[in-house]
Amino acid sequence: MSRFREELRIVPRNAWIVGWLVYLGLATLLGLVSTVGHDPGLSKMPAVGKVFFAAGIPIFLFMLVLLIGYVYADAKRRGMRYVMWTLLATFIPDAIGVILYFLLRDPLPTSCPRCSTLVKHGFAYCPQCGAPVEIACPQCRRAVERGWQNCAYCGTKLPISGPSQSAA
Amino acid sequence: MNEHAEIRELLSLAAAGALRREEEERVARHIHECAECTAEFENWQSLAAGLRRLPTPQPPAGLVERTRARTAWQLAAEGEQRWNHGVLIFLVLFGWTLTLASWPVVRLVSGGLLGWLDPGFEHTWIGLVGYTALVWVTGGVAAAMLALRRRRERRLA
Repeated sequence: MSRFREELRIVPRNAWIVGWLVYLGLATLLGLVSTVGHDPGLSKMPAVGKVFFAAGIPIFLFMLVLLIGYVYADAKRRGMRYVMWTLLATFIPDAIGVILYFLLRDPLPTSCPRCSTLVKHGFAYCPQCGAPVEIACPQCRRAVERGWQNCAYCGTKLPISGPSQSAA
Repeated sequence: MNEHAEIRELLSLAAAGALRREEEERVARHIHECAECTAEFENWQSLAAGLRRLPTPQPPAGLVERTRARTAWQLAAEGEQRWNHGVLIFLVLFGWTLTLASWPVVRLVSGGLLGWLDPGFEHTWIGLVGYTALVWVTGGVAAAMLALRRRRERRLA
């Protein structure tokens, strides 16, 4: 539950405002259509059903707006292309854009142990102070993963005890 | 294994100070009576003393911080992976709920426009199936395009 609250805090305030406006607007529209409209299905519906219809369905749109706001803020903090992802989450219907975002998003950036700058995942050195943040290939200095026998970028044989951790 | 052989196994540990009190006392009693073990114990003691005099290698600067940051990052990544599984299940259910919930709204707000475009489309089930298929095919095409783009970016990296 605490994780859920933490993630909810990422949603920007503007997304909450837009979400409530969308909810109220759609609820009002559906309320009007269900009371004064001429739809045969709706006119037979009891009053409770109409209220549920007008107040319940816009909740999903409200949630979608919050999810889009989350995608915007989360992609930004991960150093991803947040405008593109926000547009995809908005225009691909039925939250499919949001699903794609969760499937393809980058890992969270790591914090530099020396200057605390957020460093994008995959960088071997801090771009601000040059401190090593990941294990790097001794030859090409690119970040390598634990368990690799050879560097995936230049093909250098990596030491068994682990690649170079040489400080800048 | 007799007493002598057992004590010989413990001599190196005794010299390193790694035995329990009762074991230490047992070794001391045996050494007092056995010249061979006394000589071996003295050898071990001088070796241990020599090792203690060697300079202690210092870890590179920032290694502890780096390891701590790396561990914290790995824990966060594992937590996020578990969280992502739950979120994806929720989102798929949410996506389908949104499809089903938005259909009556589309039908109602369009004011019969769909029926005007094609009278057969007004039949709820045909319309719903068509609408759902259109939405998920759009999503599938977008997913395929993004996956291709990502693969190309990785190749260029």
